[in-house]
Amino acid sequence: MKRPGLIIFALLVIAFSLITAISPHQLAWAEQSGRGQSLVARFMGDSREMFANQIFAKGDSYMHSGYYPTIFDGKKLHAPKAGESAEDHSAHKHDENGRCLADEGETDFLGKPLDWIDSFSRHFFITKHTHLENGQEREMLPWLKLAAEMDPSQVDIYTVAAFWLRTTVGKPKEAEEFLREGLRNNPNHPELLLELGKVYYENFHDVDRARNVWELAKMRWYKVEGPKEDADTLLLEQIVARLADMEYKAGNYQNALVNYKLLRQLSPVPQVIDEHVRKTQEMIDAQEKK
Amino acid sequence: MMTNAMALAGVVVREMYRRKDFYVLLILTVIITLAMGSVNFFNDDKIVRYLKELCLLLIWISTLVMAISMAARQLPMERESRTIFPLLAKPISRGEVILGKFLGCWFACGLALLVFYVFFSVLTGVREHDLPVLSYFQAIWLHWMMLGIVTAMVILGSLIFAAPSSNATISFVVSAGILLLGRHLNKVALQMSEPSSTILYTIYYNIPHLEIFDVRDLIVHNQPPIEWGWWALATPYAAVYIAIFLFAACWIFKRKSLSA
Repeated sequence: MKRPGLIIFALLVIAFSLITAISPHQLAWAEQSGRGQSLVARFMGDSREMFANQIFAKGDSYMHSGYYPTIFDGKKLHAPKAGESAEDHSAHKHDENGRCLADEGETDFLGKPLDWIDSFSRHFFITKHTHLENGQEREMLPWLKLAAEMDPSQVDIYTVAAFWLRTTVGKPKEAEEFLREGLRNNPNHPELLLELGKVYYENFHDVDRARNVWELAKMRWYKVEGPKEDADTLLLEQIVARLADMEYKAGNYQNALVNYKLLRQLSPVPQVIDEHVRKTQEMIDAQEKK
Repeated sequence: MMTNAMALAGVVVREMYRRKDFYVLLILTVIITLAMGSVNFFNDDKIVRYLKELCLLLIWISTLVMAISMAARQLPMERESRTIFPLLAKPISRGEVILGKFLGCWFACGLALLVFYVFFSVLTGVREHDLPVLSYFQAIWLHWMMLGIVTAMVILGSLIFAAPSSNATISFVVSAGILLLGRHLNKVALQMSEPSSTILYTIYYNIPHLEIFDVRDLIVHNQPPIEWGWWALATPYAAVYIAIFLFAACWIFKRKSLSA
């Protein structure tokens, strides 16, 4: 063998020896630094959380068909919790062209044109506020998926995506899988459990699993949120309301009554709940007479 | 005048398809778009808008890079290889050289745009089962007009800046800056005190508003075509800036010593 060939062979032997020496250390290091993390997490580390909100906002801008304020507009289109916005959006009124009629003043963040360039340029970008509908909400899902990859601790991303998946997009199985992914990243989070219960109850009509999940959500709320000064009572109200209605429809009036009485304490309009308590009590009385 | 300029433009166009830049950018765009298109989001193959957005972004970046790099090297290359002297020895004026170089770069960009948008149309046609021809025509035209302004600006830059690399970098930063911030400069100026406000307003009123030609959001979100009257007005708006840059380039080129 000629000299260059020998040198190449020697280098290959050195490289092979080095890799056998380094490999165990490299595996140990990978385990320490979070094995099983996604590619995005490995590449970007904690910096990905910074981008998660931007990507979530991108998904929201898709919901509004691209009509979305920038940081220069100084106004927000909607500023509710992300988890609420999904259902809020579906409750908005729209005209026959899908144009949003809710809070017309609030949504008109552009205002009047400031000058002729501003006026002229408005013919070349989206200036009408419409929402995605009839299953087109699916278009925002890639951004929500990416946002969840970026910041798996943001539960709102999972609940918003699951809401659209199980309602207009018609993919409850995928909603369940995504919520389970959320639960793996945020174990036993009550908001995720509430949404998961909705999938079981409203889409799969599985009362027993829905009950189990919502009971767990209630229990977790008391454990996680209960001790907090600014506890999210709206979340507990939603969990208890769901449980109460489900038990009533299932004919478990005793359980329904317990939950309606708890809901009465939480509700801002207890008179409305009084009516439910009365009806449930009547059903219990009727059952006892039989 | 136009005959000489068109002959020179033909040489520039032929140069584009001899060089590898266009093919590399096209292949990269195709590969990245197809790779992203193969990603499965919740087992739903009807999701398409993110793909349209990504593909259009890649097309915009690719064509901007192509237009700037091509225009930035035209005159310096002629000077470095000293082919500018035999060229000007022919019955052709310096103004015709500038016009010919501009038209060549602009037509080459137009051809590249056509290829890119054919790919985009095929992609959206397959995924969305819809082809809004009028909207796409408006988008291509506006995109081409924008590239015309950028090309003219870069040709002027090639007579001002010492090296093609510095010209290309500055032109890219300026173009990207206008595309991202141009629309908002007036709002920022309103919140500033004097004299910063006046300076910013002066910039706002004088820069070519390239962002006007960027109608990607309308395409991505399936909006109806732009009103034809307003769309047509964008052409003279671009023509004014192209003319300003080319006249300035001719003026400088006529006074520039080529031997240095």
